[in-house]
Amino acid sequence: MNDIQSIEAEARRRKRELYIILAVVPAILLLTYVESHVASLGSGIPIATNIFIFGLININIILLILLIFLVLRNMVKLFMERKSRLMGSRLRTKLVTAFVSLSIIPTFLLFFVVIGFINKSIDGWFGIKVEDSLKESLELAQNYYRDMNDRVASASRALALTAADEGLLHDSEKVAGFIERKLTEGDFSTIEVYAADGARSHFAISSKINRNMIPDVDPLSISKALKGEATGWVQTLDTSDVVWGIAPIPLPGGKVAGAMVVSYYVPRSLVEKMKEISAAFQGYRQLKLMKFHVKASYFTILLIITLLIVFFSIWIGRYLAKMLTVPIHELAEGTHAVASGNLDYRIKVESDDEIGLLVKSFNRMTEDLKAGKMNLEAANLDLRRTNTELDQRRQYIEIVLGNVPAGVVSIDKIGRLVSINRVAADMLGTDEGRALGRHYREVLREEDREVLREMFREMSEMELDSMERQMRVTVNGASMTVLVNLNALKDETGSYIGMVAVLDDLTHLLKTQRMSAWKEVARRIAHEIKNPLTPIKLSAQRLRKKYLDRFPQEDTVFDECTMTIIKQVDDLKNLVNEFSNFARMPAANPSPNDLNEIVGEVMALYKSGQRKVKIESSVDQRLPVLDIDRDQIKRVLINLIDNAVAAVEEEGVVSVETHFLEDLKLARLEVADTGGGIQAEIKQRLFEPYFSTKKTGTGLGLAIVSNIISDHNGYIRVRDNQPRGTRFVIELPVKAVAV
Amino acid sequence: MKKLIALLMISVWLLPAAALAQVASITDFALSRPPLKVSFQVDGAFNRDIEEAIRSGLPASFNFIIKLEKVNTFSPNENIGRWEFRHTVKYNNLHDEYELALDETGGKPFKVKNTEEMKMLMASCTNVAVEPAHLVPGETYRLKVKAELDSIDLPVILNYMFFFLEAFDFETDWHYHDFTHTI
Repeated sequence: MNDIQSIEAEARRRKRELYIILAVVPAILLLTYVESHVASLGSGIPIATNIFIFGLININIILLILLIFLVLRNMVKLFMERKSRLMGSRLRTKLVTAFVSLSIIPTFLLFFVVIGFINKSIDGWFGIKVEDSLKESLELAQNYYRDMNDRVASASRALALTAADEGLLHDSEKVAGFIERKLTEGDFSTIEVYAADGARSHFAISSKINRNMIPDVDPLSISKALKGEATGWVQTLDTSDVVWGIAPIPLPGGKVAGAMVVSYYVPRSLVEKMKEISAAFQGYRQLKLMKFHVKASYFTILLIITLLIVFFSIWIGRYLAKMLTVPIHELAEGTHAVASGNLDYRIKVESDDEIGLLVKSFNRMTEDLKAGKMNLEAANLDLRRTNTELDQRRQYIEIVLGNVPAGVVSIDKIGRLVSINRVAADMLGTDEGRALGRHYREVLREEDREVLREMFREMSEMELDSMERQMRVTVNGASMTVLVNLNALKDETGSYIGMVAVLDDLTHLLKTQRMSAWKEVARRIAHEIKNPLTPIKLSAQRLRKKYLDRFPQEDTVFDECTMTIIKQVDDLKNLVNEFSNFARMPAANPSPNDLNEIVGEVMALYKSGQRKVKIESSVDQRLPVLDIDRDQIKRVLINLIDNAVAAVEEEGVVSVETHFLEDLKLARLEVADTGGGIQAEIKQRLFEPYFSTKKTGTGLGLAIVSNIISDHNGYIRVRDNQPRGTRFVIELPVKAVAV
Repeated sequence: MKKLIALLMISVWLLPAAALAQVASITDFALSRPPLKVSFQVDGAFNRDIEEAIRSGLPASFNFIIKLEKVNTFSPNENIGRWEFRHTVKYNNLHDEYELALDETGGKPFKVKNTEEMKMLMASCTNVAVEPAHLVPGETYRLKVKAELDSIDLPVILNYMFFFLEAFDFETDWHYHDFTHTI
């Protein structure tokens, strides 16, 4: 977009230049035409010279105006740049001001000195003494001519009177002798005598004069003389002047007998000198006439030169300022670009001076910065990769820790929790987020804190690095047996940096161990007790068969005793069978089954047989098909409902519910009663074999239930029912089952 | 900006000439016929500068232009003829005399001593014959007369210096005189 705009701007600029040229060319032609009419140059100057001079003047003025325009434009531009606070404009202004000041002061000083000098010199040219001298010289020349004119005129009159008085006109020879004599005496050039008819009668010429040098006298003047009018004048010739004097020769009675003509040839050298004096005075007068214009002309020329110098200095100042400020501007822009993160910015100013060195240094610095940045970025990338790996590892460890069944807690050397996984948080009755970073004393319960403190103390006293100890904790109301494995953490140098505690839930293990032990006990008891039971029963039956008749009917001792033996042996046998069943409980054989359907089947058994106890069921229809052992689950339900009915005793409600926990992918089976409930301490041992609160119970029912649920990877727990009674909650995993 | 420059350039040339040109006028115009002759005076032809210039020996010429046009009512006037002649004077300070040459009297040089006489002769045109090819009786004609200082020949160097100064200048407006030709 910027490129297109710049191309369009360039095109507009060229078009504008074309218009300027088209305007300037006719303007020059017009001006030349105007000049040729306005300025009346001398006719003696060749036209080619005139045209050349006009051309030069035009070019000068155009250039001057162009220079003024450019300078003014630049000054305005500089002013606008400074006003808009453009970078570098202040420095440019200062430099231009400095240049202008440095040039204007001496230039104007010189201007005024020269003006004064010229003024004084021109005034000196036209000094009074010069003018007086020239004037006196001219007056001298004028006086010479005037005197000569008077002398020649007087001589002509005197000669005419003498010739008339002495009556010489009648004697031609006397006249000739007379004029010859007077010619010599008066040092005249010629003396001529004209008769009354206008014809020349006598002519005498000086030997110093060539005949061709003296022209003929003007006939009109002769006519005037013959009419009685005397005249005198100076005739200017090509090379010299001739002074004429003509006077009438009077006769008595006022008549004129003729005319006496006297001439004097002014020597050529004298004429030239006087002409020089005349020309000098004329030149002086002409110059004096032009005095003001000469001064004005010099002033104008000087002013133009001064302005040229000033404008040129402004131009040079601006040019030099531009030379300085452009690289500085580039440097500033470069610094800004580099500060903005563009390390590819390079300044293209090419110069060998200090500015060039600075620019090169800047470019080198930018390159170094770029290389440094690239190294930093690479290092940063490595670091980030390492951090990512560490983070991934940490996350992996956290996932591992979060998913291990054991609780893991680490503390630093001052006892603050550094890490704790969910299992440990559950076991210790706290929250991961709340516990992290806090001291273990603030997080742990009092009883747990005491156990740990005791372990720390013993490890410290015995200088042990690790220690194991069982402790009991209560999680969500359930008591758990936890094996605490406490290990001291040390770094590579062996310095103590904290502790890590691994909390293993031994509850299930102990329970399993106990179950196995009980199974073994049951198997052995069944084995050891069952064997003698059959002979005992058979013996009792033989005794009754053989000896019952022998006792009178009143004597019922034998009968009762043998029946008691047989009954007790049967009871014992049942007990042994229970033990045997418990010990030999078959492994679960899961298959796709509908839990709701199983619940329905079991409920059908109880609903008809129970009158006092109200048995309700609520099933979640969303519950999917589960992979469960139908018979075993049914047995679980029967056991739990039996217990619930037994707990209710008289009127009460037993409810069986199924729920589908979609988010957790769990099926929940709940059996609740409104009986008397179970004490907390009993709850802990409720699922242990041979533990029963009932007088006739074997204590194996809930143990079997627990065992079945465990075999189904489920979980059973007991809690108080609200508002009263007990609620058994079984949770079974929901898996994708192929039906 | 360009207009300003152009205006400035033209002003440099025109302003001094316009400012310094002297105001002169044609007076005492008289027409006599036949043959057609005109007489007139130029008033204000001389000023101190021109007198000084002439007295300093610079030759000066007055140029006179006479135009004759046939006056048309509905169309531009028709040019019948144009006559141009000049009066030239040069002062000789050595002899303290003026040498004049008047074209309308044959152009033969003659000398006068008196300055006022010189001025009168230079500014006066008497019975200058205007001889058109033909004039139609009953038609209206217009005589236009104008006088100007043809030139004062400055020294060559000064011509270049003062090409833009026209201190020694006068020019009259056209003087009009309409007449109807009769036999």
